[in-house]
Amino acid sequence: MVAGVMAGLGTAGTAMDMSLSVKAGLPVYLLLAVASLAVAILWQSLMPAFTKPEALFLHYYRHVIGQLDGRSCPSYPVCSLYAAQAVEKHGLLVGSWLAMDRIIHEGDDLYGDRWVDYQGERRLYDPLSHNDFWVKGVRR
Amino acid sequence: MSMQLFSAKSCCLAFAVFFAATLCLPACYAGPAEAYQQAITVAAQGEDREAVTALAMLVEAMPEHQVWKERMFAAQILIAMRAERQITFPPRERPNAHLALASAYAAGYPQMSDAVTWPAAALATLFPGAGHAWQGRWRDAATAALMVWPMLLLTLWAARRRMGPVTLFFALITLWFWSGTIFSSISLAERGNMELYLTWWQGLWQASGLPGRPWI
Repeated sequence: MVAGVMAGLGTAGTAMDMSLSVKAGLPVYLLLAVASLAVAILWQSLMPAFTKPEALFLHYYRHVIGQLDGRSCPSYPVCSLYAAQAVEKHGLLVGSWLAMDRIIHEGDDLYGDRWVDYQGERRLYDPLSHNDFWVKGVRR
Repeated sequence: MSMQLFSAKSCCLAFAVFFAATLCLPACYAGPAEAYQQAITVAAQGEDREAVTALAMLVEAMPEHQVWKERMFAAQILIAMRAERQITFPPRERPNAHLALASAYAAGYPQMSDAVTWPAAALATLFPGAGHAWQGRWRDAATAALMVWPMLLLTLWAARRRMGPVTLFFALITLWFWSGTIFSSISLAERGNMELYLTWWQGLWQASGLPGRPWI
């Protein structure tokens, strides 16, 4: 008899535990469901950033940090977009060198005469094609 | 009733066909000047090969002994030269006034020989920033030096203290920055040569008397 009572209590305790764990797990379950739905809907716009780790950093910089600190690059296209184009076209190593080169040569180019008006702003015209034409495999 | 409906449908269809044809009309009957200008605009955007292809097709389509055919042919040759960075004219089967003018310019103002890029690379390798300074780009040299020297000193400091993984981390970043500045000094030397060539080529274009300006 004692054993039967104990067994009944144990069953009741397990049911209570299950109910509690369901209550605790429900928000996580719903959160995962909503996140999965968001990924399923937004995958096309997120795909370029998530398929390449280097693109993920640039994506984060362009759409989060860049939005917060405002535009500080005087060139056209802006440095982050230039870096993204360089990495996309030449891979991580050469792309990063081209981005570095952009930052380095901007110092003296600012005193040059390649300024253009872009949407009412004065910008230094310096597209990727001006700097990567000599890299092997690039044709004008 | 059905006859009336049929005729109404036919009228609508005929109107739609007429409307579509009218919309397409300007593109179909663009004059040679507009077609030429479009190709020059494409070349100005840096798409030389597309411009050359467009001009070659236009030359094929144009009737003989037309002034625009001559212009398109000359523009095709000159833009193809720019795309390949050539300084000599290809042999011509028939005389072309524009190309003759350009050839006369090229004979009078020969293209300067390219500056060698290896000294810039060697200096940037030996002393970060020196490759840019050698090309007279002192601000660039300062930026390059500021990128490499602090990381280099950090690496040496970590190596002296035998901080194995930290040393490796700093060394890899130094390697990346240092190689990047060497790449940048070579790139600037190449760009200098290209700008020299483009300046000469723009003189060639202007001497040819061709309309339009295929550069920004």
